[in-house]
Amino acid sequence: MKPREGIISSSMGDEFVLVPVGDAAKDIHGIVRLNDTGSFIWKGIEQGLDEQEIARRLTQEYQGVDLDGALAAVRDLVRRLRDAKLVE
Amino acid sequence: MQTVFPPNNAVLALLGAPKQTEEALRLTRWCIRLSCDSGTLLYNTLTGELLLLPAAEDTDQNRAVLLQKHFLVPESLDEFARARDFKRILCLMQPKTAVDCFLIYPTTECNARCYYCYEFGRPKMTMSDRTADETADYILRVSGDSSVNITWFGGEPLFNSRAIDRITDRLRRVGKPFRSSMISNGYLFDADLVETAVQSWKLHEIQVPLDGTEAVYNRAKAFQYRDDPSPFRRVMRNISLLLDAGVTVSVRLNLGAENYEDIKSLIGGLDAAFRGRGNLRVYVGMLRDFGTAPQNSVSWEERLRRWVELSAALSESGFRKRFTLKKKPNVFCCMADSDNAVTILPDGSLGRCEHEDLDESVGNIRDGVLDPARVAAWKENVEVADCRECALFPRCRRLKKCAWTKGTCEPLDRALFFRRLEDEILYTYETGGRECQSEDTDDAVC
Repeated sequence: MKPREGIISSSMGDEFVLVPVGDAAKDIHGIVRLNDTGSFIWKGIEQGLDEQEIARRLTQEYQGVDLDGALAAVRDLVRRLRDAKLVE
Repeated sequence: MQTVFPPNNAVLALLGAPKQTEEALRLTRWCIRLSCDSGTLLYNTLTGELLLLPAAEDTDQNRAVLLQKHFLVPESLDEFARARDFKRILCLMQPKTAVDCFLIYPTTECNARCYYCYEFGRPKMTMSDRTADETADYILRVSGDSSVNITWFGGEPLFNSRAIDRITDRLRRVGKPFRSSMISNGYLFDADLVETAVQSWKLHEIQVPLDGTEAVYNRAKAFQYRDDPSPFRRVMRNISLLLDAGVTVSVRLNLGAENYEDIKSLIGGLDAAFRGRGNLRVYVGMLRDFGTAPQNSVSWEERLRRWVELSAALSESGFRKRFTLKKKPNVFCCMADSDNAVTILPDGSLGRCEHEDLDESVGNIRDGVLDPARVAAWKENVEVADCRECALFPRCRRLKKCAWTKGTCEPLDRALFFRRLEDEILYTYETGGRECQSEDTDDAVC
């Protein structure tokens, strides 16, 4: 699991955005905004972590989140990012 | 309230829809307000949108719309951080393009000895036939299928017109589409050379500096031709020949500390000689301090006043071209941080900026770019403390390595930037929001 080539990730003020450029911009139209949790998960994907490890780190970062809940959140976002062709 | 000029859609997409908030709102710091005959113009330097607020309305009545259009923002929003991110992302979003702008020095030799020249002390080099041929081959190699823009620079480029002939001959022979412009004192033209320039070099625009009326010009330029009683007359004749041939001539009036009154007289002279010539443009350029010109003792406020007055006289004569706002946001400062431009020195070295030291080369025409770190250094922007509050920040690009700005923001530069932008805003309003062709009249032509 890794970000597709041609996806720029960046803070934009108090937001976090994913912007397709080059070939990626030809079939991904628009810009994706991620909330705090989403950007945390994205950064994990950029680091090459698997879903389990990202979920484990989420539980360390956010209080009151159990591992099952974190894993479900990670899997849900990864699925949506794959559907949007942002990760491969 | 009415939109006079629409925002850039890519910018809006990046910013996203403003969030509804209970927080107090304030006018964005990226807003420029100008009065006009039917109310107030509001221009957002971040989104590029221009609004007209009729005299009978105020911002309170249009609160929801102004929030939606990023003219009103929550009190606590860190606009500076957002604009800085925005500028960075915009640069990253630029598609990779072929190199299609080439600023070529056929020679660094010159036939004039202007007292303010920033090239004093530079090594003198002239392009050989072999290097000219290799330059054409390099252009063909790196430009892909693109049509090419060449700017001939120097020194005085006409001092080695042989190199220009060789490069353009080679491009023409293989059917490469190109056109060229030139920065020249214009002295060496005659009727035959003008024809060659138009037919063979595809010259469409030339920038010619004038430093004053006849006596002042002849003294300032100090041409090497001691038997010519008036180089000024010859240059004026050549401007006329170029205009007749359909070349756009941009005359740059070099305004220094001492020649304000004389430049006024010169504008009168140009008016008498060339009024009504549609392809003549005249603008006032400030002599820059590259450490070679005498210190300018006139205050920046007075220099600005003089610039405004002279520019008004040029508008009156119809010589000063006005520009509308542009839909495309500024992504690059100039050729130095653009990926599609390069300078080529007489020895075939590649550079980024026509004002850089000659030992700043990033590669050569035989091996291509060899020093990507040096190329990257030219992309580094610099901010000063005032950027945080300056309405121009979203549009401004200030390069750390620039020999003009030296990493600073001089009050005169900023005031001139504001003046030009205000004129674009008013002209866009006057022309009903039409966008005219983008051009830069104050720098090299690429």
